[in-house]
Amino acid sequence: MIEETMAEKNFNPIDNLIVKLLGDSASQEEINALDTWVQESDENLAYFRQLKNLWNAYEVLPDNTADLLPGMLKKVKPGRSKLTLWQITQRVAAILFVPFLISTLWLSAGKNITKKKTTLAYHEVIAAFGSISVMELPDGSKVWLNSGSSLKYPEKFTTGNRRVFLTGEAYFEVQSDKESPFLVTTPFFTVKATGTRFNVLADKNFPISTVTLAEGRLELQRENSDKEEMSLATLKPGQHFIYNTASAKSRIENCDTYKYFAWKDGKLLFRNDLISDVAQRISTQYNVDIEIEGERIKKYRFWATFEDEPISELLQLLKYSSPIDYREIKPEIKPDGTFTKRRIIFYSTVKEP
Amino acid sequence: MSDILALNERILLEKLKNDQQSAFTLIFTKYNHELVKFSYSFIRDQAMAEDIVQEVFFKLWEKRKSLEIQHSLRSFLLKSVQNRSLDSLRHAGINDKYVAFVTDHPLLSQNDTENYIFYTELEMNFSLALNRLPEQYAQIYRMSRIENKKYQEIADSCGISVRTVEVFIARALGLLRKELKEFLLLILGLFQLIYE
Repeated sequence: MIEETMAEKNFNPIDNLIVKLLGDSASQEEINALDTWVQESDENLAYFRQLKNLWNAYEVLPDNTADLLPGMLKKVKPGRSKLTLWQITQRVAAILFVPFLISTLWLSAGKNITKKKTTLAYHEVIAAFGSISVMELPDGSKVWLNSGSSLKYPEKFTTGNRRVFLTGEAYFEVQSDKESPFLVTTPFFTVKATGTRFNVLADKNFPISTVTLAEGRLELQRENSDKEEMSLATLKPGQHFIYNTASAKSRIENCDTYKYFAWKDGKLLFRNDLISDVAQRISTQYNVDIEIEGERIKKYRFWATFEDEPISELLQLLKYSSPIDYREIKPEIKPDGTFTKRRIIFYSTVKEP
Repeated sequence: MSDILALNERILLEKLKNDQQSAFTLIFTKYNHELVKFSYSFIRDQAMAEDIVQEVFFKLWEKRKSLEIQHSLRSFLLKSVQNRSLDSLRHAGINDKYVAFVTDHPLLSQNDTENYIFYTELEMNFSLALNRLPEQYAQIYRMSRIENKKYQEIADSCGISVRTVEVFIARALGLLRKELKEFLLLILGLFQLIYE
């Protein structure tokens, strides 16, 4: 409910003029008055420009870039372009080496976030490949959503519980509320939390799902065949839960937790990790397929910190600092006109015995 | 991070000079939307803004061999878009009083590029700041900026007076300005580094 009452107290008339001008509801008289005021001093001018820039910074326009690109390309290359729109965007996605971008929920509609409202008044946010979305939920909890992941949450949390739906990877900083536990439902299990910081990775495309707890307490639950919630595990801070989605087997490790969610700060951390882990995390982060070739290479472990490197640089760094080399398979056109993902194969440069 | 950005841009520009259309595609895909938004802040018409931006990109391609970009590709593109947008306004009839006010005032439209770059860095914190406002202010502000409703429309649908809408927006703007002040000061230093 909007209240009309208190608003008029302590109200600056200049703000009123500025707001009217910005919203195009000012009369010519009012505009002249504002003009006079703006010209009076540098401070006045600066003040106006600040508010004007704030106003403009929050512009929400549909992003037609993909639609405009083919027309643009026709102009910069004579002769008809034979590529379809979809092929062009796929090719761009395959060769793009955009560093991690951090973006927010409300702004830049269409730029790298898709926001849809379903009839159940749920919001769905999808972080585009190569970017991370940061958002605040209705209860003040903060979520970092990794590249290619999607989070669905209601407009308002009703009392009882706070439930969100995740596919992919996200890092949560949950506001404490013992009356109303925070639930993250993924395709494989539900994470139940009260006032904690944790990372969840659960994606149908990966054989392994994980939950990493930095602070607080977590309970992992899964529905059994009788539709009852049964407890899979309880986590303490510093614990990393690994779940094999095919076999439903799981284990808990005690670990350096930050490396599992350093991605939220644009970093990729490897701390004595096996090449298979390294490959999996690079492939999630950059949306490429990585394969490991050879037996010897499977034993290698890595200690590295990568920050915002484009994948080409990261691969070069790997190549020069270790006995690993790689070759790349160029994306191919599939029968339906789309492109396959970029494929990279790691192999050991040390000859097998 | 700014070093890596600069390196990427230099590589892109080299490729562009060598007639590589893929580099052009990357540049277009990366900057188009932001440039359209920027042009829109002057023109207030999305179709026209898109046309202006396309002209700028076309010119970029035409002049690719002779490009000498000092600071950054992004600020170069922003400045080009600003110039073209202001030119276009001078030639067209202007119906929007806000646009008229800004373009007639040389001091207001000057150096908008720097301020715009400055404020697009804000985006990450903007929605968090907005969410911290009292719900009423935030809601009205969103109706105006996200749903693009005019004050009268907002007044009608909320059952309040236009005056109240204006007051709420003014309060929201004022609070946002305070909220973001610290962040602005923080990145002011960074900003000066890049645009020395």
